[in-house]
Amino acid sequence: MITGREIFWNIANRGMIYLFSAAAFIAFGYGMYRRVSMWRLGQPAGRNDHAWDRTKSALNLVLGHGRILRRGRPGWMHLVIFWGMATLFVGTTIVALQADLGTRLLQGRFYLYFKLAMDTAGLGVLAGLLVSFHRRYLDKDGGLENRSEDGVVLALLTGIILTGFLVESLRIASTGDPSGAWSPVGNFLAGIFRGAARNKLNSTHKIAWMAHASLSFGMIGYVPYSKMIHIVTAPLNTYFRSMQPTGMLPPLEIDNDDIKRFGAGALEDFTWKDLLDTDACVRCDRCQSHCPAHVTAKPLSPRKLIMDLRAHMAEKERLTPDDRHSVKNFIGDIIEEDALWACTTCGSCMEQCPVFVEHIPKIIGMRRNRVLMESRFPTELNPVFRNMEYSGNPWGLGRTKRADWSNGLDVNVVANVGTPEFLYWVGCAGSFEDRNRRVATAMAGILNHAGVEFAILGSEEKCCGDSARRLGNEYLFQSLVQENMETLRGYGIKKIITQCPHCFNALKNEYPQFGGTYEVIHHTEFVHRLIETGQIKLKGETGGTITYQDPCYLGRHNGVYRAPRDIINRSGFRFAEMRGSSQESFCCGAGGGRIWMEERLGERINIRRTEDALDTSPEFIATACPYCLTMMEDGIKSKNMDEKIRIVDLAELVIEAIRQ
Amino acid sequence: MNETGPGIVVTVAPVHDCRDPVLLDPSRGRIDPASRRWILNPPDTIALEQALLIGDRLPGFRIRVVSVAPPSAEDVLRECLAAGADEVVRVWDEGVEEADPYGLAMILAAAIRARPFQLILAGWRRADVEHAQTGPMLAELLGLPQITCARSVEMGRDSESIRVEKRIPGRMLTMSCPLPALVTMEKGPPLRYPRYPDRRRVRKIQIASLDLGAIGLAGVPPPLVQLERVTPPKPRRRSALGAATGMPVVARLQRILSGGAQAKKESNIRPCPDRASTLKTVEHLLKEKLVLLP
Repeated sequence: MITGREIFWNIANRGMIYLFSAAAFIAFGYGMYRRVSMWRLGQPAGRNDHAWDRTKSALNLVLGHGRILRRGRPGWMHLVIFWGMATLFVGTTIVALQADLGTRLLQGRFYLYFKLAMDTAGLGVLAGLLVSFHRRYLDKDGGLENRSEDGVVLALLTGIILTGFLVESLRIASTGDPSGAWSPVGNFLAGIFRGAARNKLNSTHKIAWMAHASLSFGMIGYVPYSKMIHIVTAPLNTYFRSMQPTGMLPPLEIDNDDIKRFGAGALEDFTWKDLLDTDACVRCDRCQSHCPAHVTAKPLSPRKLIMDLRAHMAEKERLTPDDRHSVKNFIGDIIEEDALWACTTCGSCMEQCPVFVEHIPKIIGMRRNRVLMESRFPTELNPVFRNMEYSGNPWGLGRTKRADWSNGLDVNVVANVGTPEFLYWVGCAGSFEDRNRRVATAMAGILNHAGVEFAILGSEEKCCGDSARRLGNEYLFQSLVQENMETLRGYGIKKIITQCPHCFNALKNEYPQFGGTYEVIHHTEFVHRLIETGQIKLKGETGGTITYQDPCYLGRHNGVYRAPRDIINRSGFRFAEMRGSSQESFCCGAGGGRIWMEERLGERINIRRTEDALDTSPEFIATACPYCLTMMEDGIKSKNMDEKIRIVDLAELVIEAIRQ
Repeated sequence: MNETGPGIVVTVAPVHDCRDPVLLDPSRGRIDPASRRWILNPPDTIALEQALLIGDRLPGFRIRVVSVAPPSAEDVLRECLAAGADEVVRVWDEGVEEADPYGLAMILAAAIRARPFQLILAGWRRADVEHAQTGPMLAELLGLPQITCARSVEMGRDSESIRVEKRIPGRMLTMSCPLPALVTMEKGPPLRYPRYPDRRRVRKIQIASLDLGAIGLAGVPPPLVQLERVTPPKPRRRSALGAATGMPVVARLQRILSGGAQAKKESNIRPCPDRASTLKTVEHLLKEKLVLLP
């Protein structure tokens, strides 16, 4: 006899299941239709490129859980539930195929393996659900917020698995299934029922079967109305995610006279992908617990922002197109204005998000609306914008004084010596700010020591526009880009070394959007290369403990983690990594134009990060960014540790190690 | 908005951006036009913002900017429109460049007289030559009451009078004055940042340009005060602590910190910081290269 199973054993009224499924699929279809029509409120997003690459990487990320596993316990919890439910779903489909299409799969060895797989999957899901329950309601892990739907989903899944096991064990108990051992859980439970009257077993089985079927189909119908929608939206969002560097903001067609609205001042100004993002979010807390603004008690939470957008999207979709305009003030009533200005664009939220929600472009989109359309922004930015516009630097210092830092140094200006092999892009801080001028001096020293042929633009260099863009002033950014590109084109510059990660990111990732393509190298990478090729030799006997603050626009946004650490290791220090480093690094608080604003709300981000640094008991704190340098120095001073600890740029470290 | 109705006139002068080097044309003692980069005279932008603030509270005022400016300064004048001024009138003619404050006031008076206004707002002085005369002279020529160096102007709901605040050392004065009147502004909120659509809109606006004949003037009187020479400041000496007093650095700094270095009266000398903290200050100044030892 071939082992197998009678489908619909003990179920007289098998038509019920078609009724259930019809109801479930109608509910599912209608719910999804409503969500899709919500997403369609948005603008085009142009994410239809690279279909094959997108498919490959989406499959990889969804099936392999790469991002999700970054947090161990919840990651594994999700992995077991995901693969367990997927197995059960496939299994149920095989059963359905056998019942309705008459396939003969469920027999012989395959049937035995099938049973084992289904039981294991069920057990796995149950284990995952237990962890989840513990995390949510007993451990009260971190920032999980519990809504009623979280409890419903948990109960629903638990119910499905338990009734499934119940149905199985009752059947085994009643029929004395000879292959019962291949369903270890069912077999074990069947032991409890053994000895009960057969008709009792059969009638209980009927009830359990009905419960199992209705819960299962109920879950399918419930998907579009709950966070379970992420079963659909998370893979979609992963497929349609941005394939560009996170440090690259979408450009506005600022010169197109047909465009009357700039930035996101209403829900409809976002792209459909932005709106899909809101439905992909599972409120997992990873963005918010890594957000420097949220952690320091500012009104920004990336998660809340996404949730508020989702609620507003549903609210708007219910209105007729005519009524949609008369809704309350989008920014102000739906999204708190202070939240927009609290973002440092450090990228931690996007780096952490397991479903690839893009928070920064939304925040910048709304800042763009505030600045370009409403001229409403923190007042301290007014002079910053004007200074960038008139003087080409945020402080409004004389344009012609830009090269003054190099007086008396062996540094040439391109206008005098012609096109060099490398342009050293000093940036505003390196040119004007006393502390960072010393970094520029150190860098010039290194380049000269290694015999690199370089020159600076001097008074022809202007602010790269990074802060302007991240503050939403796309007009100002693009004007600066045009002016700088013209200068660079005039001299035929091909290779650029930057001192500031913000200049680095803008020149490398954002200037190409306007046709300016250069080989851009950050000074850490360049110096690292000089060390590796032996052009400079470090006499590293300095000693002492050193820690390193990853600049967001060097690390997270551009993936440069190794070069700075390698430089430190070669210069003879004992390197101590801070809590939260590399991808997990915590912002100094100055990015996204925050350096030009007062930090009035919550505690200070730089103090927070300084404390992380102090925990490593360092003698030196190294960084590779003018903003980080300033913020960490301020932090150390306010901790009264500035006599014991030196904050250095890697270039300063290297020049000292050369000269020793 | 009433095209010819009452309004606020703001006089605005484009000036050379003094953060850039000033290259002089030696033959005429004026800024070499080739090195010139126009910006709006900063005190005038404060006057414009004050006018716009009044306009925000009492809509219906027409805000007119009147400027004596060459065609090359049209672009910066357009910023007034982008910020919210309703109209810019530019007056220029041969010989106007030579005009002194009195000549400028005559031109402005002639240009303003033809238009209805309740209030004239001006910056208290030009950031380049700093005469601080044009505003008061303009008030005299138009026979208006005037308040100089104001910090804020509030217009009554009936548009019949204003209340003005100005600061004198140690006090804030609040004054009122019937309209029409002229106020020169010393400080106030900075000029608002233009919305981008406004910036784009005003690019195409043709700025009205009048010559002297159009405002009923045959010419302006030649200036009686002549600029003789421009002397650049002596380079700042960085060895502040070293001056030949023969005193040791620490002692000298102690004296400076106590208010005793320049103090003439005994009462101005404050209790002296102790030697240890002074020594620390000196070390800091030297370390940061803020001062150099001779």
